[in-house]
Amino acid sequence: MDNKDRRLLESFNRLTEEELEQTFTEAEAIFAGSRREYEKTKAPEELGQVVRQAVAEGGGTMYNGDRNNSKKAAPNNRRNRKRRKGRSFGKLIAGAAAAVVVCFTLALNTSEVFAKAAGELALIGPIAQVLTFRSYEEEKEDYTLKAEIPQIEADEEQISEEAAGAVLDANEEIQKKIEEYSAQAEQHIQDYKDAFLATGGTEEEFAQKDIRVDVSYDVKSQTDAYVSFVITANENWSNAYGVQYFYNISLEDGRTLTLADVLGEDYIAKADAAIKEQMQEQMASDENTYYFTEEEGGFTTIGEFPNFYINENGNPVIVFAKYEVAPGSMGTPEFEISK
Amino acid sequence: MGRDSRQVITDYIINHQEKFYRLALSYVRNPQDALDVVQNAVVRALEAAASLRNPDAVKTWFYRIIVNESISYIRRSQREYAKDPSLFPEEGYEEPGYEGESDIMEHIRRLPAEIQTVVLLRYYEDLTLKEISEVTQSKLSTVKYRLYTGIRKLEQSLRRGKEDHDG
Repeated sequence: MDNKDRRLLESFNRLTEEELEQTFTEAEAIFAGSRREYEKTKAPEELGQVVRQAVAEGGGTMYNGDRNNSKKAAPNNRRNRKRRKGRSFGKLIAGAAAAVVVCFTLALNTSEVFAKAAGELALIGPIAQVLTFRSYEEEKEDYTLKAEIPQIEADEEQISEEAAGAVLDANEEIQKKIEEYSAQAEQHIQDYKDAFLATGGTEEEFAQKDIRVDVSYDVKSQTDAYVSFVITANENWSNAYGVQYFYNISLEDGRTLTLADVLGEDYIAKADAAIKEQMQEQMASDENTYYFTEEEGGFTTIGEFPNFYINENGNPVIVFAKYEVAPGSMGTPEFEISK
Repeated sequence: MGRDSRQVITDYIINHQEKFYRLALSYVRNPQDALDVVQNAVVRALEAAASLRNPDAVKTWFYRIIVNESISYIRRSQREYAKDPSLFPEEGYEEPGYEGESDIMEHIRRLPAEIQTVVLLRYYEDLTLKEISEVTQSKLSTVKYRLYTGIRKLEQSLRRGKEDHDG
């Protein structure tokens, strides 16, 4: 305690309760002006949305008093720094729709590879003769990165230069996305660790958490004409950072298929109507299902470039990010649109 | 009880969200950061709903969460600034959330966090000293001393600010 603080304490001790009360009351004058401005502070419009999402994520009840929470248990993992969807989560997804794949000889992972395995799935389109995947694991200081990434290998002699270029570009993009995701994950984990240590945790305890970053994929369908797959990336300590990337690749020319290719020119109107109808049906038949209304920031339109994959029936399936159209307990809602 | 306390918490938060946003903003200054703080606090509150044994205490219980979240948010960003000083807002940088704000709030921000908290809760959020002692989990006499210290320090710092300004 320095001299100033000592003098303050002494003067504090000399005051009677009444004098102290009076000091507190008189001091209101100091704050009066600033207090009026404080009360006029307008919250950004996003506030309602942010609170609503956080309530849904925290497992709170909000839409209706008698809806119970049996579907979603409160998550066990402690979160230290959640990012709102609008700032990073959503951005990643929005940028994720395009392109694909791979290598003629390009090595996918240039950093140290601890384990590497390759599997093969037979494909017979002119471009891709084989869809392979690479799997690798990297031990970082605070976490383990485990990735399984698909790639299309083509016979260079059988395809046009243009198609080969499309395949290469796409391949690089996929690699870039994994790197971006990994860099962000590293930052999240560092924040988490800082907060964990700052609140009394030890390095050893942190290491025991066995934090992992997983990148995996799921082939949704494949024909002579196209392959459709989804890459999923997440961090095992938090479910706030899950991301999906969607790839629908023509095996004829290496091009990325758009929803218009699958559903026709009026694909937006068609999909919008189908999704609205399915949402209503689901809510009517299952009381645990809830989609945000338009006023709550819910679904209005898929927009020009929605995330989708093609299922075994050859139908596109539109996928929404968590919170985009429904509370977090609904996960990532999917809607199959019949052609 | 579990569901009821969640409902109590949710209703309370929804009804007072603007207040909590403002309080968070007075700590972190930046509207985006304040939204982050509110979001973190809400998730944390609902995850810890079981620890709210008495629903009547939801006010001081949630204030405690938002205050702690705000302070730890500042400390985290200060560590980031320490690592990379270029992230630090420039001198004279004014946030749109507080345009035209009289600089008293700026003086309050320079107080130590525990003093800043009692000043904000007493003069901006109208909490009673007893409520503040629950929020900060400190003795009533400690709250009084901190508030007294805060007022005196602010008076000094305002006086100094004025002298600097006048020449």
